Parts: sequence; structure tokens; C-alpha cells
Amino acid sequence: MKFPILIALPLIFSLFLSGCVGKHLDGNRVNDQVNVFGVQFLSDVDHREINGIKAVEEPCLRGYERSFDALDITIGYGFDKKTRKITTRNPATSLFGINPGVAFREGKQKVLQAGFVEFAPPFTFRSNGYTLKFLVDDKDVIFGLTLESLD
Amino acid sequence: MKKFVLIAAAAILSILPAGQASAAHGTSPNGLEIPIEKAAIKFAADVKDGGYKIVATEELKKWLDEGKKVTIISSLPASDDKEFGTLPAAINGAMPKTEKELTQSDKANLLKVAGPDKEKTIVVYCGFVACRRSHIGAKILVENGFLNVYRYPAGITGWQEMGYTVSK
Repeated sequence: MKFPILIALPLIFSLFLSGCVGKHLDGNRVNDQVNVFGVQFLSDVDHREINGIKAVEEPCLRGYERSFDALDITIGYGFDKKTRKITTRNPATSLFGINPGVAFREGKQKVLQAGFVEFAPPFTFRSNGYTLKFLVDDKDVIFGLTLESLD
Repeated sequence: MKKFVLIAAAAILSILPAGQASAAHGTSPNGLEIPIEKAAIKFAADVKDGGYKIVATEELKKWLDEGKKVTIISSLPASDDKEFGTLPAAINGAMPKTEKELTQSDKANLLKVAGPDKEKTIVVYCGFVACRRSHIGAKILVENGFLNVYRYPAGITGWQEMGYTVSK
């Protein structure tokens, strides 16, 4: 009985070191902060229609994107068909508690509190394996946000 | 039974070339005429709207081989440039995929990398023909008084498809 434990413990430890276990847990934590018509980050749910709005699909270098123009959202999928990018310009949605329409200063404060660090200043922030980019207008108001996987 | 197998094999072999021939006609030997049409229609509308010129892969390669002075701007995100590489000596002026996501910061960065000389030849590219980042970038340059702006439609995908060198 001791033998399997001796094998299992280093295996679990190495999974933590490689980030496999940590990233999975982190993905779940991210989705608690995603409020975009039920779309989940790193999920394999195939959204072709949301609230009766049909998507327009476009190719991209890392997979494909589906735009729901009437909802002001875009979902990016990787070649593995998992959501790797969510863009919203819809004030009724939020990412990490930040709605489109809030001041950049307020959004920055919230994103730093959520554990992000500045990545490509001033508008892009990074956390474990993903970035959050603010789309900011000339009045310093966030009119959109993009959450994207770095993988 | 043996005879039947031989006849069946001969029949299948005689059908295969005919089938391949019917699948091979069209713009690309791989088919996909509808996405090509979709991209072509959008491309034509964008070029008309953008007011810039276009340059094809072989022509751009010729320019570079001849040593023509060209400023090449990749309008892909910097992370894509890092992963897929860039055309020789390209600088990054990332643009969004749609006008709706364009920010003042994107515009300011593009104009900064384009520099003050409004008469130089500038080529803007992105991922492939259907990618509109290069249209958005080239249009901004034209609107800001740049006189020799070209869009390179095939982008990094076309460049790599031709086997030309990319910088990483």
C-alpha cells in the first residue's frame, strides 16, 4: 500500500508544478466573474445563437470568432473549440464586476483588486494565464472589455 | 468472386479521377468557393471604402528583394506576431478586428509607428484575406494624410504559404 502513495504524491506535486491542477481551478474561479449571457471561459459549449440572435462566424489565426452584433459581444474559440476569448461592449454584462460604461479609473481599481497586474500599460492587465484588456474611449470611459487566454 | 472483386476495384478506380476532377475546379483546388466569395465581397467593399492601394504577395517580395524602401506594419496583436512571426523588418501597429473595438490608443500607436514621413511607402498586413485589421489600419493612415498606403491581403498566412522567411 505504501508503494502507490509514494508514486501518487510526487505525481500530484508535479501536476501542481506544471500548472495543470492550478489552471483548472483558476478557470473555474474566472467563470464566477464572467457575466456575459451565460458564456463561460475555457468551456466547450458551442454558442451559435444567444437570446435569439444568430452569430456571424469569422476565422482568426488561433481558431474562429462568433460575433453577436445585436448583443455587442464576441466569443473567440480555439481550434480545440473551447472559448478562449470573450469581448463585450454590452453595459448589461460584466467581467470581474466591470461593466462597459464605467470610468477607466474605476475599472482599473477593480481589476487590480481582482489580482491582475499591469501587462501592456495602460489598458491591458494579466492574471494566471489570461489577459483582460479595456477598450477605452477619449473620455476615459471603458466602452468594452476583452478577456483572453494566453495559451 | 475473384472476378467480381476485380471488376469492382476497376470501377472504383475509374470513378476516382472523375470525382477528383469535379472537386478540383474553382478558385482554389481545395474548393471552399463560398468562404472565398464572402471574403472577396468584403475585401472589395473595404478597398473601395479605405482609399488605399493593394499589393500581392509576389509583388511585395519583389519590392523587398529589390531593396525598395518600405515600412511594413503588422496590424496583428503583438502576441500573434510573437507566435507566428512577422514579415521581414515589420513593426507592430496592432488593430482590432472590427471598427467597433477601435480605441484612440490604437490609433495613436499606429500613427506613432508609421512616423512623420507622409510620402513613404507603407504596407499594412494581418493574418489572411478575410482579416480586416489591415483594412482598419490602412484606412486610418490614409485618413491621416499618408499618401502611399498599401494593404497586403494574404498577410502572414500567404507569406508563409509561399515559403518566404519570417522574422521571429
